[in-house]
Amino acid sequence: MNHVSTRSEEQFKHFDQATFAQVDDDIAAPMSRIPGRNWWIALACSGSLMLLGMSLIAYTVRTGIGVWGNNSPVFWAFDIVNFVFWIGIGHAGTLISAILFLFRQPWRNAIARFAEAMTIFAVMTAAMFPLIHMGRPWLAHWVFPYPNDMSIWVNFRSPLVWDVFAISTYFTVSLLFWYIGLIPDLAAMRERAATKVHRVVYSVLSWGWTGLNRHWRHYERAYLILAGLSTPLVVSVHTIVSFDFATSVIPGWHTTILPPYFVAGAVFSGFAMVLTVLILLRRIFHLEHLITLNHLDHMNKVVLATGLMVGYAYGIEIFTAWYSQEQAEMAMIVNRITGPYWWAFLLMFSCNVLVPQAHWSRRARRSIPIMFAVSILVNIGMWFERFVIIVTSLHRDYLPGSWGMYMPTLVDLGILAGSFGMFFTLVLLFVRTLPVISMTEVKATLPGAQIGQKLPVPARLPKVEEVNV
Amino acid sequence: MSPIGPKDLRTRTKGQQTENGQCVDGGERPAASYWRSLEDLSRTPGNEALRAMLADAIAIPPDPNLNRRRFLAVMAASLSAAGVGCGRFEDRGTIAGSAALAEGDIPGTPRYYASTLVHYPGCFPVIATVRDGRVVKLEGNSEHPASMGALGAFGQASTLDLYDPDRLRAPLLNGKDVSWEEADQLVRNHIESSSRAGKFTVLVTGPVVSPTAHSLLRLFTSAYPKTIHRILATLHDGERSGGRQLAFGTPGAGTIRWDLADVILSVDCDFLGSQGQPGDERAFSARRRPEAGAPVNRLWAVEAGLTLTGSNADHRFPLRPVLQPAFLAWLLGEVVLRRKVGPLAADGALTGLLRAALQGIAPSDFGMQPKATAALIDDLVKSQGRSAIIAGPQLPTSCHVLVAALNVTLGNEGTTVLPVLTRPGTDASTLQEWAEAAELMNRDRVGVLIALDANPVYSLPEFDIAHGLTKVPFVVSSSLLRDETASAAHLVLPAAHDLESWGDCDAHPNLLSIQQPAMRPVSPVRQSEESLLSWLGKDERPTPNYREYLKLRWTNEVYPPSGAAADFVRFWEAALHDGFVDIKTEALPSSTLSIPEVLDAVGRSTRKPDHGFDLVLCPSPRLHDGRFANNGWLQELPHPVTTQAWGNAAVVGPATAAALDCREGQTIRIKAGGASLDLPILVGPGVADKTVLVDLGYGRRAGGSVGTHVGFDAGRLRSPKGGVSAWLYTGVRLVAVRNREPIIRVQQHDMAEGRAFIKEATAHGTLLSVATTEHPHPPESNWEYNGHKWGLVIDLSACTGCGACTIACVAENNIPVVGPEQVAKGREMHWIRIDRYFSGPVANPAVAYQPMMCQQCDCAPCEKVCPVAATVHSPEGLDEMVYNRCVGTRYCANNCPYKVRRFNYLDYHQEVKSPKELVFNPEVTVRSRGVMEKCTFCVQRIAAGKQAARAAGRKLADGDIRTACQQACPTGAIVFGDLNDPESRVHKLAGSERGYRALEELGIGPAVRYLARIRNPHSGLKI
Amino acid sequence: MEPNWNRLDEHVKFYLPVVVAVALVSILITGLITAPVRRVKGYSPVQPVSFSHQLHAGQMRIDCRHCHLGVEVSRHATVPTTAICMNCHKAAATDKPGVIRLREAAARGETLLWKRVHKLPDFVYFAHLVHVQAGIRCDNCHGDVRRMDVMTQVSTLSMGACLGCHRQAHERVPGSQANLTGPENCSACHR
Repeated sequence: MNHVSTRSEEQFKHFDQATFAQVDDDIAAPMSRIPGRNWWIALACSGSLMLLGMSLIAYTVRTGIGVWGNNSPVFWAFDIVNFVFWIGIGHAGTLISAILFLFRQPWRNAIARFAEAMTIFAVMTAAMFPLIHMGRPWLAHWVFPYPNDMSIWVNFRSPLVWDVFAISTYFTVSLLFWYIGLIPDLAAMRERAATKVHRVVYSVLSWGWTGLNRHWRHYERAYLILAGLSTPLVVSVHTIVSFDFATSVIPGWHTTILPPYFVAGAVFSGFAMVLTVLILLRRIFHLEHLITLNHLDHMNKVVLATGLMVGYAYGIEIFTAWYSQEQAEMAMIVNRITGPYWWAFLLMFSCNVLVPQAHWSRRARRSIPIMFAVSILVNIGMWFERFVIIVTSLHRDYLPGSWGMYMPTLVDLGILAGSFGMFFTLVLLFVRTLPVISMTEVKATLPGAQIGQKLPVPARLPKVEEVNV
Repeated sequence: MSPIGPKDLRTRTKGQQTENGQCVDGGERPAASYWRSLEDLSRTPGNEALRAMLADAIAIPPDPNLNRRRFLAVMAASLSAAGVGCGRFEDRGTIAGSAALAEGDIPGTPRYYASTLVHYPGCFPVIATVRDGRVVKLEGNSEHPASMGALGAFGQASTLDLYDPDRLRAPLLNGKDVSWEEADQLVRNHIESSSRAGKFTVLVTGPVVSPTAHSLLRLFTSAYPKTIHRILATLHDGERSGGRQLAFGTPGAGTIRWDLADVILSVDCDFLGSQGQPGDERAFSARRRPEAGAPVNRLWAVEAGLTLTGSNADHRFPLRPVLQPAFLAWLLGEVVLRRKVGPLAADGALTGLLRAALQGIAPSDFGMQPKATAALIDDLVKSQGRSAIIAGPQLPTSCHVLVAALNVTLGNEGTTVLPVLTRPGTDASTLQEWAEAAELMNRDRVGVLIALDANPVYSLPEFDIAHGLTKVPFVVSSSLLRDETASAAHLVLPAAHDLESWGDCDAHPNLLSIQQPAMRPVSPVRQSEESLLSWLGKDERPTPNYREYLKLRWTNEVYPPSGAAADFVRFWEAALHDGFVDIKTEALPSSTLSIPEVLDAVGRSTRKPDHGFDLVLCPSPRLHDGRFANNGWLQELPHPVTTQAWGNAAVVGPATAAALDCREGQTIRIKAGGASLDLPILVGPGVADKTVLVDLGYGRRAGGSVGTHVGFDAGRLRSPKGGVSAWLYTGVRLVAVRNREPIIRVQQHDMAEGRAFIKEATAHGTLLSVATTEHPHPPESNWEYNGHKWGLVIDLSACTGCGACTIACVAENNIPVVGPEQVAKGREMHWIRIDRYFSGPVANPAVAYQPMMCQQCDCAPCEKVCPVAATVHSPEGLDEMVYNRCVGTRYCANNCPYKVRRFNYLDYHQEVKSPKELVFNPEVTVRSRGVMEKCTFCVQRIAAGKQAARAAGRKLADGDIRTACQQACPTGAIVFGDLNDPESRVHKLAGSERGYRALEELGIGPAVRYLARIRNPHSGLKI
Repeated sequence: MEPNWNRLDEHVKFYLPVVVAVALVSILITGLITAPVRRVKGYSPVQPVSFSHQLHAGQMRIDCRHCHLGVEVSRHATVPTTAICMNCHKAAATDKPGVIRLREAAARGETLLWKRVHKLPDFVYFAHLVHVQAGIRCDNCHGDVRRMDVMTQVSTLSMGACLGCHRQAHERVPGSQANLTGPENCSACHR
């Protein structure tokens, strides 16, 4: 109780002067003014990357998966590596917006909206890969169970089918959660809209929100329920993704540690990505007083913690391999560390386990350059973690006669770049069209908006008048 | 056309032929209707699949390298993607019956014809499966003693030659079409005018295995006296028969009674591989099964390269070729002088001279332990009359004299080694004779040169025939493809394939096999004998066509001595039905050994090796002498030992490579005499030091669209005089040159890593597995099989690793050829992979082979993970693969511990040029891109077998259904059947104490049982 | 705050969901109506020669197997060869235009190109002989051909239709033995 209030004291001391209006202005600013040159340059870069990726995907679909480096025995490579990587990125958003909301962590309010948006975009990017990795993507609808004139069903035993459910659920729920959260802000945007067009658009998007008491009540209820719904998803989605590997018979995949390991890894990479982007964002849009060093500090702590979990998972994998005394298992670990892909393992290990150790020091946690570097490295490391898990397990499994090597093609690399292009394009459009920070929630945390700092909930009442004034 | 009698599921039909050599069962169709009959072929799903697929085929070639232009093309194309596949939905095209069908010819039902592939090494007797007027598959003739139903890789692949799009379609005179009549007239005129001008007519053919063809040739040469007949064979037994000629003074070759030989010493003879006769493998491996009763034989191999024979030997010694004669001489010395064995030991003069000649030669000279050689000699001496010694055909005459001497000494001659007569017309012309012929050409003494199914320009680089031909005013070539000789010829005639031709063949002792067309020619081609016949003057021509000529000779020369009770028509029909008749080939009296020749041979054999390397030019296990260069199936078949595909290389031992300081792929220059050749090296474990081996048959300059410029032409290294022999050169220099050339190897990892999936046992019964199985779980199968439960047993002791099963599988299941780039990426599509593992010292490793196909697990990892249920379990224990349901997630392949699933990464059937589509099996879907595929135990054959049994109203019997691999296997190592049927062979074999299942410990319950390989080491030695 | 905006919000609140709902429902309905399976039934193309099964199989009671030779021994029922037609039409109905066309074709050694009515996908290995031997009558799938003046498809011939029979053959096939069953595993039809 105490420490909550004390934290929130220091939390918000520096918007003593900030008024509700000012918050609205600051947050809405990026949307009202004409984008600056930097934004256009950024959009041009990410946009062209996206275009490249899309055309390479078109090329793949028309020519065949053969344009990638995949072969026998490495039937999955960049396609699934990218998929798992992007799904992982999404997790931070849900964790921050849902779990931290339920735990009433006010510091989340400033970053929740943005993190959620990232979730949506990451899942969109990720969802693309299972589709295009298919040999015959034009038949992708067959993986959905629906009554058909062939009178047969999907194979419910297949983790890939579970994936379909997990990811579609995850996407739907995150989207709703995010959108519900947006509605009051959209209404506020409608109120400040300069042109008719803006006005109509925001009116439609805000589903006729007029800030009535009833609206607020429904809103709170819906938000709470969806928060409750998304919470298990944080755990379930990546658990199920990990089943793709854990339920198989391939050494290096067939391990029970994978689910927790994947979830930790997902949160780890997710927070890293949120950090990377937020650091840039608050700099570019001068939101330092809303997204404060404290926020970043908290996030760095999460990075450190999840980083340790991931490190533990690496260790335990090696241990169990030795403990099993299973020929193939031990050979797999040895091959991972000393085999032809030793460099990938080294990269993964140093980026994910060694680098985050910097965050033990408070100075590192509060130094923008350091945390930026760490977040980038962690992202790289986590991409390679998936590479190590997928490629080094496949390329040498049981029968040495079938062993082989994998080498990506330019198309592989292009599509990887394209996925980043897609993600950042969406982010850039988002920051220009929607409030990147939840006005409502931030305002709720302003001094004077509160009857005590316990819940942000009742804090909304005064703001309603403010809207109708 | 009524069948003579149902034999298992095939009721063979006597292929009676009309005058123009066309099958009657299409004969009543108008000649032009052949191509239209594709229309009724189109009712066979195989073809519709093909057509549909070609229609959908993407306009972009499957080339992973993304260049700018294609990139733009894609962008443009992807815009129009929406338009693809539109069209009126209801329209299902047209359908047509043929004008008329012969009685009993129902579309969709197969017919079977017996014939013989006379132009294929070994002269395979075959049964051609004909569907709707086209040959779709070949099997060995199960009643023919030389085949017993087996058919090697060459024979299996011949259907692809038949439908080769590159085949010549019409006679060409200097590139312009001419009619056959004009062509024939032209040839006659040129021959006559040139002989009037006192010039010679050189007639080049391959070895003539057909007595009828040989009699026709005699007719031709007598009609045109100035004809010189030269017989061209890159690989032949000349040295061997020459050796026997010297040793015994009688012509003929020696054949080995493998069934009687307990101990076999092979001195660089790959009789299990590319130097064997059909039947050798089966007879040999029949003695490798302890269950068979007869004691397991013991094979000692002394060889330069690591061959199939060496890798199947119980004891193997690498020895550079130049020392092999000395080794034989020394061995003779040991047996005769030390052990005092055999008649020679009594001959004082001889022993004295022998002792003198063998002064100072010790086992150490051959890098062998005295212990090992002692054991070898013990073995040979102990089993006198029950051993056999054989030397490679590439070794010089003297070696074969010594082999003869050894076999006489050990009492094998006449018991395990039998002399057989070699018929005139079969042994190739000597280098001497070719030199003369070339000389005549260069001196403008040759007016006409006729090459019939022979390619001297490529096969005889040492005589520069290409240049010689420029001096010949009129060159005629009759061949399947526009090969090097055809490109240099004035008149190019399209020859018929063996399956379109008439003929006979007595390559197999006491048998006369018949060759008949199994289908009408793909295009208006003509068999070379037909041409030869029609080049005779009107009055000299005994019959209007070659078929009649064949019948005529049979009436006069085959029918009477056969003493058949039936009249000739019945006799002939029976012959056509069975594919062969029994005849008497007169036996050779085993004659006495000529001592001086032996001494002379010893003298010539015991010279010290000079400096430099030894070069061996080997027959290619895939392209033989190069005639199969345009056959994609064979090009893509991995070399059984090196696993190299799509090319050849200079194979050297590890020590040599180290001495040269070269890694695999490094290009080296081989300098032999005047000639030199640059090619990449391949480091082969077990290859003798100071030796380099190169496969012949590659580097074709005009080998067709597939075979041109694949690999390097080792023939260029030959010299007109030959070296030690035509294939063996010594004092060769090797120089490393800068650049590198990637070597495409299908298997990248050679070691078994001490895992338990291959097991071996000694003949004494002790199981010495490579490692012990880890705590096997019981298979967690929740299936119970009330009806059939299909299973496969593979006897690793009988399997030699030849790869016939792989090609048979390719032919049966429409498996695509993917090409060198894709193989290099690790995307070969073969459903049967033959894993080859080395163990022990790299200088002389032990080798193990393991055919690996889908194991049809009871608790299959692949079935669990497919999201769309495209691979599911059948009530008969098969893991079914449903191509049309597959969306290509490739999860099944990832989760397959055997990695036997194959994925169509690209549209590998895209570039099928007509008439190649005719080779497809209409019972199997042709898979397009994006689809997973794998072995299904030939599920289409299972269905066919059941339907046949049902139609005949009987129960399915064991052996009714045979998978393609089982049928092709030359040693019968593969047995398929119903594990639920206690009487079935597969059930009995599966119970053998040698039986085990690969990766059993995973608890997935594979349905394929392997029988541990038997090794039979000498008690005095360890393996 | 102009009031009309608030009205817009009111409207939005009501109409937006309605519009979305209507859109979804109409898509669904269109999909169902235009489903291929619904369109294949009743397909009866105009044939080059107006051959009437009603006349031959119906009135003249010619057995199906008389012309469709393969049906008992092969996967394919087979379209009759011109020779088979000519067995009768050398003499019969030689004045009819269709028959004249036929005789001309036969004289030229050619065949008639019929419009195909029943067609299964390439990857379906349906075997007529097995079904005929199992006592399944032609009309179970092809309908009462004896009454068809123009050949018409009566069954969807979809995989569902096949499985419908295979799963409960006895019920679906009138007059079949009680123990009649069809295989349901994939490789029964797909190879």
